[in-house]
Amino acid sequence: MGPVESLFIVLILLFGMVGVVRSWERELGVTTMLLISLFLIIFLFGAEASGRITGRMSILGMGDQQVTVLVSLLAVLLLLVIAFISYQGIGLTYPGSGKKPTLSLAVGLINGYLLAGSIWYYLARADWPMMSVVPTYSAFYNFFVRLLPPAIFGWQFFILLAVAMLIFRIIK
Amino acid sequence: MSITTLFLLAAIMAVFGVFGYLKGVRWAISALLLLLVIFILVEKRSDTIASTINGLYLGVMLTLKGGLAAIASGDLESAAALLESTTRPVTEQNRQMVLLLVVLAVVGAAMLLSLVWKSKPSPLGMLFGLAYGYLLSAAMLPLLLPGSGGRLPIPFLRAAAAPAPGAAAAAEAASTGSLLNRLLTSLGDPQSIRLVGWLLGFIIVLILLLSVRNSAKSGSKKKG
Repeated sequence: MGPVESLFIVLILLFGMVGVVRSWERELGVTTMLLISLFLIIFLFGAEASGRITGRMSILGMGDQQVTVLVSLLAVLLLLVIAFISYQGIGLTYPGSGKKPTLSLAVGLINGYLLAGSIWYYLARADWPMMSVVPTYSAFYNFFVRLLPPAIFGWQFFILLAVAMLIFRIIK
Repeated sequence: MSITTLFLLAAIMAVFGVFGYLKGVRWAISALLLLLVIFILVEKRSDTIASTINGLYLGVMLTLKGGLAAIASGDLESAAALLESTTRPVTEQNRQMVLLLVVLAVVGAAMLLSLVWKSKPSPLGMLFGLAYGYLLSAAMLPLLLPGSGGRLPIPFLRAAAAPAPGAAAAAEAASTGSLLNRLLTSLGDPQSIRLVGWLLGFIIVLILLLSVRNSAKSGSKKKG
C-alpha cells in the first residue's frame, strides 16, 4: 500500500472520529449536503456534459486531457467548499440524542467515504495534477479506486438517497 | 508502508484520538509529553535504557545474594564473582522486546493518570490524542514489526526513511503473494466489483435511512 491510498484511508478514518465528536444528528446534515453536491457534480460534469464542455473548450484550444483536469479540479473545489460550509457554517441538522457513538462513527465514516473518496476519484481521474504521484499503484489502490462513490454510484443514487433522507426527516 | 502498519497506525490513532477527546486536553498533553520523553530515550539512548535496567537488576541481585555484605567485609573478589554469575536481563536478543515493554509501561502510566484526572471532553484533547497515537505508533511499530517499513517520521527526531534502490519493487514482489493482495486481485473482476458496490450502497442506504428514521422518532418524542 502506497502513500496515496494510505492518506485517503486515514482521512476516511479521521472523518469517522469527527463523527464521534460531532455526533450523528449533525453528521447527517453534512451527509445530505454531500449527497446533493455529488448529484450536482455527476449530473453537471458527467460523461454527457463532459462531451459538451470539451466541444466548447476546444474553441479555446483545450484538449480532452486538459478539460478532464479542469472538470476534476472544479469538482474537488465544489466538494471542498460544500464540505467546509456544512462543517463550519450553518447546516442542516436532524433532531435526536447524541449518545450513540457507534452510529456517529458509522455516519462519520460514510461522510469520509463520500468526501475523501470522491476527491480521491477526481484527482485520480485527472492523473493527480500538481502532485508527484506516479504509477505503479498497489493492488489495494487498484481495487479501492473502483469502489469510490462516483465510480460505482450514478447521480440517481445520490439524489434519491438525499430526497429519501429529507422525506424520512419530515415524516413523523 | 505495509497494509498491516497502516491499519495499526490508523487504529492506534483513532483509539487515542477518541480517548483524548473523552479524557480532555490536560490528560492528552501530559501523556503526550511523557511519551515524547520516552520516545527520545528509546530512539537516541536505547543503550542507556538497557544499561540502566541491567544496572538496577544487578544492584538488586547483588543486595539479595549478599554481595553488599561481601563488599563491606572487603571481599571484592566474591562480589565480582557474584556479579559475573548474574545474567543480565537485557541482552542483544531481547532488547527490542524490553524497549517495547518500556513504551507500554509509559502507556500504562498514562492510563493510570487518566483515572486520576477527571476533565471534560474536548476537541483539542482529540488532536493531542491523535498526536499521541501517532507518536506511540512511531515508537512501537518498529519494535513490534521490525523490517516492515514501519518507521514513521517524526519532525526533528526521526527523518523519513528513504527507500533503498529497488526496495519498492522488492516490497511489491514480496507482497504480491500476501493473502489480502490475492483476495483483492480475485475480487478485481467487474462482476465482483459491481457486487461489492451493491453491498456497499445497501449498507450506506441502510445506515443513513435507519439513523434518519431514528432521528425523526426522537424528534417527535421530544415534541410529545
